[in-house]
Parts: sequence; structure tokens; C-alpha cells
Amino acid sequence: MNTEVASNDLMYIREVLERIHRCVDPHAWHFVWWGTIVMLWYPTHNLMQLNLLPDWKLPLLVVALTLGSLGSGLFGWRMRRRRRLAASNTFISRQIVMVVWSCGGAAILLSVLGPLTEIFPGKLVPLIWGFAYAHIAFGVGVVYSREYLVSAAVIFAGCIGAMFRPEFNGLILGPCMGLGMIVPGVISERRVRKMGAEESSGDDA
Amino acid sequence: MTPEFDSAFLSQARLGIVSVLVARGTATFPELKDLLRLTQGNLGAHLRRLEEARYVTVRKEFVGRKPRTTASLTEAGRAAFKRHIATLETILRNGER
Repeated sequence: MNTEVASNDLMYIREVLERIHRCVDPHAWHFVWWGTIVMLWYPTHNLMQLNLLPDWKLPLLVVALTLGSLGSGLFGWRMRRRRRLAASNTFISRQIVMVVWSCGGAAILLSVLGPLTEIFPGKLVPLIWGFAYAHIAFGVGVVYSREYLVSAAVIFAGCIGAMFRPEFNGLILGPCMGLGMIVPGVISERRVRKMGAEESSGDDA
Repeated sequence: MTPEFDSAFLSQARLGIVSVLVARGTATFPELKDLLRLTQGNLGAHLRRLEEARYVTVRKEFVGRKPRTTASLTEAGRAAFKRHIATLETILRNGER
């Protein structure tokens, strides 16, 4: 065996390990669900700020957060019942959960404490969530799959746009954050279903 | 000195199978076929070769009416794979031909 064959073999092993790396169930319905909530909530909120809709911002906030939490709880329950991919990479799954909680947790703290302590006004909260979503997408893109990196770029672009046109921040951020979570979330979910179908089928799959 | 090679790993397909099993512990036949892009017959032959070397154990069962084959790595397989990687690295380091 010469160095070329040895090098090819090591490269092949690395390539196989990279393919395995993608076998993860990221529980992407949470991304799809919160993406949908934000895509509807933020533009509606913005239209209320612009007095184009009746001013029901507080009920809207309560409805959005309640629906979001209930849906997330329901999806979480259903996904726990779903048969785990026998060969799923649980290390990556845990990293995804950590990325989501670190960014989401920071955004929750900031969006409560920021306006309360008057460090920044409440109207900046959507922007903070925009950056949190972008960081979540970036983190998931780094540890799991590249389509989330594209989402992160779209959401970051939306955040920058919202900074320059604060009066339309909800109309800009809503679609960017929504589609930035829904599109890769659906792609991930389809990938997981495909892998699940292959596992539960017989040898001829 | 020429490093000794384990003939079980002289095929990339078998190297791939063991790489998957090192990373995951177990894998089903369709998973291996999909990950390694091998045909059914080819994969079956390579699995048999690894089973003969006692590097892999193969379990066959029925899911409903369909047969399912699951491969697992043995401790001997894991140790042999580590040795093989070390050998490949030695070759690259020494530039041996």
C-alpha cells in the first residue's frame, strides 16, 4: 500500500463520517411552528402599530405566546412518542437543544429585563428575537445542516433591514424569521421521515 | 519496516461499513446501503466477510412480514479498526511506498 491509497482510505472514512453526521432528528417541528407564529404575529403587530388594524397588541401577544407554547408542547409530546432513529447522532441532537436554549434563553431574559430596567425600549424586543433566531439558525447550521446557514443569513439581513426601517420592523422581520425557520425545518423533517421510513422498512428498502 | 495490513480492511466498502459501526454501534442494512451507496448484493458480501473475521455480528429479524438485518461492531472489530487507522497514519507519516 502506498501513501496515495492510505490517504484515499482516510479521506473515504472522513467522508463516511460526515454522511453519518447528518443522521440527526433535530425535532424541527418546533422551528416550523415558531416560524409560523412569528410570521403571522410580527406583521400583524406592525400593522397595529401603524394604526392599520385595531390596537389589540396585548391580546395578540398573549394569543401568540399561548399558541406557540401549546403547539410546542404538543409537538414535543408527539415527537417523544415517535420512534427514535435507531442510529441517530444523539450528540448533535443535544448540541442543537443547547444552541436553541442558549439563544432562546438569552432572548427571553433580554426581552423581559431590557424594557423593565429601561436599558432599551420595548420596541427593540422583536429585533432581539430576530437576532436570537438568526443565532439559532447559525448554530444549527454549523452543527447540523447547511440550509440553516442560508436561513441565518436571511434572518440577519431581515434584522439589518428592520434596524434601518424600524417603523416596518414587524413587516420585515416576520417573513424573514418565519421563512428562515419554516423552510429548513420542513427540509429537516422530511429528511428525518425518509430516514425513519428506511429504518422501519425491511432490507429491500 | 513494512506495516502489516488487516486484509479485512483492504476494501473501501468494508472500511466504510466498520466506520459507520464505529460511529454508531449498530446500523440496519438499508442504512448501510444508503450511507455507503452500495448495492444489496455487494453490501451482503462485504458484511459476510467482516462477519467471518469476527469484526461484525449480524442479526436478522422480522418487522411485520419484512426481514430486517442489523449489523453491530464487535470489540475485536473496533480494536482492528483502530490498528488499521494507526497503520494508515504511519504510512502517511513515513511516506512509505
